[in-house]
Amino acid sequence: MRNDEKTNKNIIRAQAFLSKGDSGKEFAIEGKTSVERRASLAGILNAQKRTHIVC
Amino acid sequence: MLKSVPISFVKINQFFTEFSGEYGYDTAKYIDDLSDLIDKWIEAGCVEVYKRDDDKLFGRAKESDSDGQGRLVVEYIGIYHTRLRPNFNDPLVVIKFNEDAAGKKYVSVRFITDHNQLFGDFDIKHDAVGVRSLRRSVDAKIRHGDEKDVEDEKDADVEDEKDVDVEK
Repeated sequence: MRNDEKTNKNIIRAQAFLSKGDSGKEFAIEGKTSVERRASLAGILNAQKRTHIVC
Repeated sequence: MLKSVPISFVKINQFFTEFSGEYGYDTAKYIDDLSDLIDKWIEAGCVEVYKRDDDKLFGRAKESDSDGQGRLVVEYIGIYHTRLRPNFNDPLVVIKFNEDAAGKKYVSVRFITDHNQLFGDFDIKHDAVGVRSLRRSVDAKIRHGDEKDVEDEKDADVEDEKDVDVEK
C-alpha cells in the first residue's frame, strides 16, 4: 500500500471513531483526590472492558 | 506560543476501551499513566495547548490538524493529542474539548493510538525505502513534465508555421 493511501485509510478510520464517539455516552472521572480519581478511572475502564468482551 | 484551555472536569468516552483496542492498546495497562495525566489537568484546572515541538511537555496537548510536516489534516480540526507517558513520543491520547449542558468545558478522552496510526506516513523522512520511492516518483513526474513541455513547444512551433503559411 502506498504511503498516501495508508495515511488516507488511517485518517478515515480515526474520523469514523471520532464521529461514533461524538454520539456515545461519556463518563465523568469523579473524586477529590488522586487516589479517588484513579479508582473512578479504573472502574470505568473495567466496566468498558467487560462490556467489550461480552459484545 | 501556549494556549490555555480551562476545564472543569474530565470524561472518558463510551468507546475509549474499544477504539484503543482497535489501535492495539489495552487500556487496562495504562491506568496509572492516564491517571497521572488526568490529575495534571484537574489540578491545573486547564489543559495547555502548544504548537511548536519545543514546547511539548507531559500534560500538554497539540492540535491534531497538522501532521508534523506542516500539512493540514482537515479531518482532525478540533481534535487534540497528548503524550500518554513523559519522555515517550508514543502512545498518544486523542482528546476533544466539549461543553456540558451547563456550559462547563471538559476534556473528552477518546482513544489511545500512536503517531504512525494517526498520521500514516508521518515517519517517511526516517524511512530510507519510502524516501527513495518518493524521490523516484517525483523525478518521474518532473521528467514527464519536461517531456510534455518539449512536446508542447514542438506543437506550438508547428502551429506557428501553420499560422505563417495561412498568412502567406
